[in-house]
Amino acid sequence: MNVVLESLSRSYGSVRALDRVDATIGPGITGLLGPNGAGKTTLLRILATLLPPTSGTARLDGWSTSHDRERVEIRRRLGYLPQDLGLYPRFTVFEFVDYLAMLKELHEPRERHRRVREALEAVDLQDVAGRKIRTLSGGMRRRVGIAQAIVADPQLLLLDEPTGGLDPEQRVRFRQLVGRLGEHRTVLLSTHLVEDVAAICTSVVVLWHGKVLFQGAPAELRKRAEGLVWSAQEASPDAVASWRTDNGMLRVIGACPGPGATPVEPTLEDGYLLVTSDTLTQ
Amino acid sequence: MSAPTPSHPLAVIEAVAKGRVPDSELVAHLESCPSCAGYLASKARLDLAYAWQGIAAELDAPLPSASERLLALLGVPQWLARFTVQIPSLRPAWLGCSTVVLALATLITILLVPTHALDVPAVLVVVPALAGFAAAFASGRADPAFEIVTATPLSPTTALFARLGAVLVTNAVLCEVATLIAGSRLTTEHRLRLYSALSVGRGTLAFGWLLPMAAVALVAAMVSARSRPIAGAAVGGGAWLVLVAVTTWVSSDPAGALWGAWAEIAYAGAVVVLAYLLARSWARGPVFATNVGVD
Repeated sequence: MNVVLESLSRSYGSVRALDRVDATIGPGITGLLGPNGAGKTTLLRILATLLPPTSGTARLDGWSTSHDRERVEIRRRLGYLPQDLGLYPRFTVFEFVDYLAMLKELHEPRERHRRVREALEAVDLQDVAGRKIRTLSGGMRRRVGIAQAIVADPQLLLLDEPTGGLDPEQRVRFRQLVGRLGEHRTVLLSTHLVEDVAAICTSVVVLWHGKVLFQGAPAELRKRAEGLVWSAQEASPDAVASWRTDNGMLRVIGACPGPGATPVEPTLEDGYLLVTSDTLTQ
Repeated sequence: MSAPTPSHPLAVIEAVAKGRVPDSELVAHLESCPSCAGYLASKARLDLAYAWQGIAAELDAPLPSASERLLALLGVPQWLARFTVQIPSLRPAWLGCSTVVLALATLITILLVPTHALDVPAVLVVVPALAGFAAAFASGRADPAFEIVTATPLSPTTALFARLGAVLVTNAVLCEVATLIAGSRLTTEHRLRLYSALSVGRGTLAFGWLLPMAAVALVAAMVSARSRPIAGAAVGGGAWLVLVAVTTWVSSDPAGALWGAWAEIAYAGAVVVLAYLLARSWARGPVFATNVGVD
């Protein structure tokens, strides 16, 4: 599924959460990267047809989120994991995913239950299918959320901060799962964790105060920092960022901090910091 | 197994082997004709995987609740029944609170203001329904899965009227019980006035208070569609209070003015118009979408 955003804006009173966003997102896994308050959740909610834009358009395979009938078509092809995942604690895992499958128009019980079992197996929850949701850990609940998002085999998967609250092992397993899911569909993954994007995303959109600062491949974002990352004893005052690493040296992003500094290979995080700092200094 | 002679119903047997239900004539024939019975056995293929899916589907199927079964008996599809019974305001705790409100109204009616038997219930009768309505559509804490459910292809109009109807009917039953209890302790004159106004199916008009309750709930829904459920409930409740206060102030017979035939006709008209307008506006925009933060 292709997502095309044209001059998309959304305001809450005087606060502009999205400011004339233009972007094209295609199949594969796209990371929506930005700090808290950048407008990531607002953008995902517009794409999930939960919020109307104040102006501009969001089209998913040509369907506009602003038109009634087209919105239903979008919802038929959508899997959505919200940031604040709400589940019914008194439901069993199977019951909850089955309930959402019903609402996603899987009405034939045999087929629906097969899909529910498949979704639970995909997130490795088949052994706790009969357990009440209130007895699950935070990571397991997150996986229930992913199971409900994928149960109807959506073409577009919107995941809002999906790794929040997961421990390192769960995060690795989650990346593997999303990597598999992204092989045959469009996945839009909102996060403020650069390592999530570096690990699984094929493209990245950097949002900052409602504006798109960068869109492209993670390698391109990393390339932005080429020749601007140094290992040095001291940081120059005009450095974008600097921090001490485990070898005792400072990692400095910005212009050459002085004699003795040696250039180092940039990471995605360096590119992200550089792109966002450009806005700060302008 | 050799095939039976052409006089046997081969085509029908093959259709049965593929899943068609045999009629009584064919069953009788199969019982009396070993050749055709053998032919059917040779053609019928047991798909173990498919059979297992059916068994598993039955085993996995969550047990429907009593309210779900009741809705199913009324012909409501399973998915809509399950959606409807998830309304927070139909959970036992909420219904308990509604019952307490109505019990208090009943108690006040019986003990404190027997000469104004209609005033207190008239004001309070819409409260549980309005609060229940607000909770039925409130996002966040009231319905934790609100955001996920809203992103499904479920028709907003269907969702609206299913939940609105369920809240109204449930509260109608509670109000009916409260009215009957209150009425049983009043004088004959007051009881008749109370019944004619508030009790379904008694007095000169059935659904005495149900129509105004529905109209007020629809007003609340219309406001909520563009604001927040709590604002909708406040506007709906406020409008009802104003109507009761003004009627009491200007009319020599407030009860007759509030619950009389002309008033009921006006309520019915308002319900029809409001339902039409609500269905239109609801389908146009996402429901309660303003109840989200900036991020």
